[in-house]
Amino acid sequence: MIATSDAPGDGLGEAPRGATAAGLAVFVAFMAAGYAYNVTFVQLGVTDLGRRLVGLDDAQVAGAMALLAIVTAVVAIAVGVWMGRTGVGRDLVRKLRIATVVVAGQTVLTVLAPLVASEGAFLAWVLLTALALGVGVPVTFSLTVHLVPVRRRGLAAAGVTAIAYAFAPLGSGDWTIEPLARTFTVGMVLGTAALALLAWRDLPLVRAWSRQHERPAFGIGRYLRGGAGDARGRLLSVLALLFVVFFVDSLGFLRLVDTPFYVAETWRAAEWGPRLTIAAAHVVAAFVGGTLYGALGERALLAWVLGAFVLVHLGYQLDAQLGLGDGSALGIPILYAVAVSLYTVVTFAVWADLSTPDTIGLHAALGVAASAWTATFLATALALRWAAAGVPFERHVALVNGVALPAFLVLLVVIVWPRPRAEVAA
Amino acid sequence: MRRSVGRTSLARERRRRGGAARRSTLALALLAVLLTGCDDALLGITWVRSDSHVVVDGARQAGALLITGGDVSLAPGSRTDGPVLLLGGELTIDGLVMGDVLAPGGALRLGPWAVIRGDLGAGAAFERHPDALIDGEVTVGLGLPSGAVEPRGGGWWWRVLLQALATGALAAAWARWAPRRLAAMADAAGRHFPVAASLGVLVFLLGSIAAVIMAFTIVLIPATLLVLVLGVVAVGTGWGALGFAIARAIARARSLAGGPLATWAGRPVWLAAFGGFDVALLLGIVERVPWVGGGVALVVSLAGLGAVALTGVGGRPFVHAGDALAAGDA
Repeated sequence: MIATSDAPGDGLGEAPRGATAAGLAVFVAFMAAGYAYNVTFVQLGVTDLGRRLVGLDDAQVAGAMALLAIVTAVVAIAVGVWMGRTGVGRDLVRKLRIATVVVAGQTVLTVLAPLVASEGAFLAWVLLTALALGVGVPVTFSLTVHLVPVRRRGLAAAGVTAIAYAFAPLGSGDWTIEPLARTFTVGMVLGTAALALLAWRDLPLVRAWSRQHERPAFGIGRYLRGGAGDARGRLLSVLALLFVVFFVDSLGFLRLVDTPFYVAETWRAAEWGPRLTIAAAHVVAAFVGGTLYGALGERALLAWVLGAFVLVHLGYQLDAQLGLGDGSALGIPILYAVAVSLYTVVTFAVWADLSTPDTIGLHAALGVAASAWTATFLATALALRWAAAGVPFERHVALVNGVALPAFLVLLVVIVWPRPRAEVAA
Repeated sequence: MRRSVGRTSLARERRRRGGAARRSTLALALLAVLLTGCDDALLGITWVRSDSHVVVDGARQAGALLITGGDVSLAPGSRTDGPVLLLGGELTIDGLVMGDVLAPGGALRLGPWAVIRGDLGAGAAFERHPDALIDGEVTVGLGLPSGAVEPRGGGWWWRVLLQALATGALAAAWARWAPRRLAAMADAAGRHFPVAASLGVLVFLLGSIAAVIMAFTIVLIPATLLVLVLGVVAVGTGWGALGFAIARAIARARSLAGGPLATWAGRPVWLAAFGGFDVALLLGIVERVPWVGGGVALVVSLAGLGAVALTGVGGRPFVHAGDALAAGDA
């Protein structure tokens, strides 16, 4: 039984029943696993690897993180440009094959991570990890134009975010490199096998997906529709805003993670209750974010995302200065989970919605690597520097607010500023 | 011709007012954000967070005194001008306090030389020497309200009934004096329930944390109270909008079918009043259903709140961005 999955009669042939749903499921699973790997294993694991196993001080680990950020960004942008020029951005099968090789390489790096013992080996490991990330980011994000229809991108991003973040607090809570490596190796071996199957077997589903980007419902991003005005300006403004959000998040969270008072009975609680509550907050907030992503205009959406972050960090500052809580209160951690899920949903959907199949590689590279990764790792490096310099927690959070509050004010000005007529119409 | 000139000037006036509203919003937001970063001395507040402090004999403590940690002693012969707020730590008063003393948290002790010219509100940890003088009203047993306290017997029925009457009256007032705004909110709540509920979650969470932060700046406590009052009115308005949406849909269906309710379709004030009343009454009953009742009531309330926010209190109709995409794809 053959039936069209989307947009019948558009001259692109018939797709197997459920091709769109299967595409969504594959995308969500792949991106959720990739995100959990990047956030948990790379960002948190590398710090532990450098500090504990190799014996580097905070300043040296900070330098390695900065190197990782810069190399990742440069490689990702180069790969993004290459994808646009060679037409790889439109070729699903080639992208799946590249993704398979990248995940296989990352699996080897994951297995080797606990064996790294010298500074030279650590730097080599960081460079290879950056190379894999740099290639992987534009390739995997560009799968969106084949697998996720524009109208479902909020929902897909919500699914990715919900799975990735539900997994993190429900895990063991032990963020050292050995258990992380063991956990991720099992998943990555399975993931490599699944990707290889999709990339090298001539499956009807893959044939159907490989042509979906030619349909406007898949290929043309939401913010490029209907004469939506200055696309480059929009891309740059979203890049700048998400850079600030990622920077603020990492700068604050990295210090929170190192402050036992705030994590011992919340994110790292021995009991299931607090971790389950935080995971549930992530999941609910992800679907709230996904629903709002598809419904609101970009200005309102971005204002809510940044506003949430600023208020949460002010909340932590208040708590730190007043000494109100006993460290076990879940109010602010839940709000933090909400804020993180909101912006993560946006980052999983917005780059594809600012792109066509030819530009998605570069835009995803700019967005994820140059904006998100660079911000994350630069903030991580700065947080480690401040920790090494003995900056107290209270002062650290105040400094984070020093970045967040002016950014929010600028955004507020942008929101209340009268819009050009063409943009209002869009 | 005259009509078109009138419309143009009306549109210009609206734009002018819109610009003024934007500028006011921006100025207020700027003020609020800057105040949150103010040094406490700039606000005329002395904020004690830790360690031991004594206002000694003959010394004068100007401005408000906020204590959230540590211990503070106002010695005999000392004078404290402003109100005193104790949220944590310990406070011993043995001198003169010209304003009110409010101590919902921490431990408060009044010595034999204590003189309080204002009112006193104290929590559970409170000791008073028999010679201590208090000019104003004394309230003991302050604390955060406990959700576990339930009205006895059938008391909740009266609360639900009053709530329903107030919601019906509020909805009728919207329908009488701002029918387009009510219609816009009802459309958003009825046709875009998941979006309204999602935005309601954010409005509730972020509004709550903003209110708490503002309360701790002391000078913005009135703004916090205003936020709380507006929040209650917004939830009531949301219930009313939802009730109006449901009642309007039923009346339209009845209008097509004929019958005794057919004429109601043309009476929005009655529709709003009955719709708002019914929704509030139903929610009051549903929230008492174990396990799921509270959740259902919460989601409906959040959707009402979200509908108010989505439309800017009904000032503009909500247009779902996905509708435009669907039209384009088709």
